[in-house]
Amino acid sequence: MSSFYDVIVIGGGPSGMQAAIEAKKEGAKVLILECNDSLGGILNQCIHNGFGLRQFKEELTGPEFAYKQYSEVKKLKIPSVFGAYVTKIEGEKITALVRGKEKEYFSKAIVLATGARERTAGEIKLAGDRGAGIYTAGTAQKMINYYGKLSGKRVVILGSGDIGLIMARRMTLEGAKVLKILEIMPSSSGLRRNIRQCVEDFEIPLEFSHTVTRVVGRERVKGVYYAEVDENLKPKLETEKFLECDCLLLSVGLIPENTLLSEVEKNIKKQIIVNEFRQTSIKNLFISGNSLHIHDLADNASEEGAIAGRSAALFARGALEELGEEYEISFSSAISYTVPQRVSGCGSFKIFFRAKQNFLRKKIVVRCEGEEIASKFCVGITSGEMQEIEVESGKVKGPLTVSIE
Amino acid sequence: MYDYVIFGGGVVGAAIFNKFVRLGAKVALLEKELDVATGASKANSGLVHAGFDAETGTLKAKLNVRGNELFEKLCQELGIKFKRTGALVVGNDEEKLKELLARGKKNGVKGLSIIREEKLWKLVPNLRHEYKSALYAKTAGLVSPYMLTIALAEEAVINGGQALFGFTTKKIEKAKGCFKIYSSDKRVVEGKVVINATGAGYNDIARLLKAEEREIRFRRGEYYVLDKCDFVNLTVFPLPTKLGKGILATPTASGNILLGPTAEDILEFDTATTMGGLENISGSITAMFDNVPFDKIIREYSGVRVSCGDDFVIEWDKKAERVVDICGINSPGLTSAPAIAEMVAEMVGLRGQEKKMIRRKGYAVKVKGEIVCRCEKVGKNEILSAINSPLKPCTVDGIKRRVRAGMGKCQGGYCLIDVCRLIARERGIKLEEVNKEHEGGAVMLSGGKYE
Repeated sequence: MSSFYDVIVIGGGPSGMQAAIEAKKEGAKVLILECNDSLGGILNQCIHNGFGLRQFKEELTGPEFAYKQYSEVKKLKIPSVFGAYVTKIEGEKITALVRGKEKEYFSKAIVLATGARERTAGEIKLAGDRGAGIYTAGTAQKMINYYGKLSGKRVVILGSGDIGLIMARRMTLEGAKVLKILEIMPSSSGLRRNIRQCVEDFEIPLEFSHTVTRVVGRERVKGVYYAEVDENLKPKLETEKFLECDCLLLSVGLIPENTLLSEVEKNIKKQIIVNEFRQTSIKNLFISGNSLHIHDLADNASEEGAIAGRSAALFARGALEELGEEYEISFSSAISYTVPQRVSGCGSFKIFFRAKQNFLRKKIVVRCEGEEIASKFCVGITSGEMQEIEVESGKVKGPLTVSIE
Repeated sequence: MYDYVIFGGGVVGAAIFNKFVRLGAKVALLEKELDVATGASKANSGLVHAGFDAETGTLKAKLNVRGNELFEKLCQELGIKFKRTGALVVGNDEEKLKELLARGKKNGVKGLSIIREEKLWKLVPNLRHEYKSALYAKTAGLVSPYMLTIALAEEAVINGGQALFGFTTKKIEKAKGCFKIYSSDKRVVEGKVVINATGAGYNDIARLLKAEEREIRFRRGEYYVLDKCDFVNLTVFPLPTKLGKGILATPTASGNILLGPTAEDILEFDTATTMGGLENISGSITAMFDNVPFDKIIREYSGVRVSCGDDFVIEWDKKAERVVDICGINSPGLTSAPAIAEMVAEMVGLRGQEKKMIRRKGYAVKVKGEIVCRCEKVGKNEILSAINSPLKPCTVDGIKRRVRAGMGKCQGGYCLIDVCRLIARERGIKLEEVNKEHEGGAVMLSGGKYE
């Protein structure tokens, strides 16, 4: 096996696998570098259902979804290197520690699909003791789903992100008592279906505008103090109460894992800028899935992987080089970000974005130099769910704006 | 029967342990926790102070300056990082700076100077330009306080010292020129001379020894830890106040940044962080610096300084014979530790040439193995090497302090479970028996329905 490829995909989760599949279908010579011992990424610990409705038109568990992709990877004879931890990307060269030994790979195009990590107690400046029993929800999920161990028996969950909601149900089914879910915001960032199926169906109290003010327990968590917050999200200490528990799970957000890219491109700010091909400012580098921005569903991360993988294959054979001028996509104040942020408009493409708050009966409008080029009516837009709108081929002649009207 | 028994595996206890072994004595170190460096020695600023701060003539002044001199050689012998990066005390009150400079010179500190404006701003690009002068102390440095403690204890153990962990002293009997020390799990240790270096636990041991109990005060200091970055390249203090050296910004020996500590008098030993304390740090740091990378905060912690009067207490106990009291070792305790060890050796009459020591190997391996901690790029083989190192650490935090697994920005999100699995495998215990740091602090619990 030579170390020269058309497309190397870093990360073998849902987005990476799909990128590899699409690149291969475009005729590229593809390799997947995966740091774990198997493909599937975080899907492997997501044993709940709810995956695949969009991509496979059937409801699957995480491992089933991964297996479907894996079967295709296998059918297409796409090779993978396991235990490969990429440390550096320089031009076409990728340096990886494979089981701790340094190896080099070369590829004309590279797709980064390294997923996300969970925001930690340190990042939210959680006050109090730092004993055992404080974990991110994903870590607790791995404990129970891989090793059958409980992170605690009386559990408080801080944050109502999807993993937190899923874990509320999961811990309950495993015999733990989930005492409360506390959410500092006035609404949940989780999917509506998760609130219904994981929280309401199990009668788990979910309190909005509340947060943990202090954790108690030097050896292991013994309880938490929590309080209501004011409009500036500051706890009102007069409302502080104590809740005895032995575990605090955090579901307070995911952060794209793109350290690799920020090491190549020092001036990357909070968000990575890509065009509709998921091509970064470094032309041979493509990025998709949660390492670019956080997706609600594995299906969406996979869909984005498909775009990046196909584009990377085109780039590798020189078919993506002459894109022409790229235009910026700006957005109204009701929107927090869009992907992509710039666009050439060579073909049709979708703009994905998140709204800052909830809206009822509104229209999403895309304009190019004042002229409406796409619009879509929505009965409900929630801040927790990713929105998308398609723009047809040939409509882009200048900078775009997206707004909710 | 040991010649000396040391209570307390903090940096002071470990330094004495090491020194005594080097001087050929038969020594045991008793630690109630599961590892060394689990108290104040893991939670401080990690600074090797120059020595201008302490009142001339005090033990603090003397031992600080002497301790500082010993660091290069000691850290080299122990195979740990020590960086003489220098420190600055910034403030526009030149009188006060000159006072500090004069005191420093009296204390015997070399390499002190006052620097101004351009020269200062060049050293600290993020310092606000309202700050125009500073005392520059060239000899100040950085060390990992827990790695120093661990390395001191490891070398002692490799060379014949005995370290006992999870040793909660329950009873001490005195008989025929020796102490018989009983632990709550029925271990017995006998020694001729005992040294109480338990820090916050001083009075608990003093009571059992029927030695002098002392009035101890606790002062909590909270910190922020930032992910590796170059916000400051040397330690920057504000002008000191009665409460201490103030809230500083410093790199650590490993390249992280610390912001802190606060100084809050508390009634009981308590290392919890508080919302108020953390806000306090942000306020003070923002007043001194521009471009503070608060988005790089990955962790908060607090440590408790123990004080007993104004100076260190290092003396023979007045009530009980053959007991050395060490109490009130707050800042500059880390810097002074090697000098305290020298002083205590002198006190007990241990003199002469140090014996030739077998040096510790550290945890480096030829092949890292697969990466377990992604943030700090720590390989499986390095973790195994730490688990099987001389003190046989058995806690997740013990491994973290040794090889930095879990010290990065995801704070163990990826590696916690894998580190637990490796500890469980190597120790032959169940996964749910692996503790985070303290006895009774299991990371995972059994009882999943499908376990």
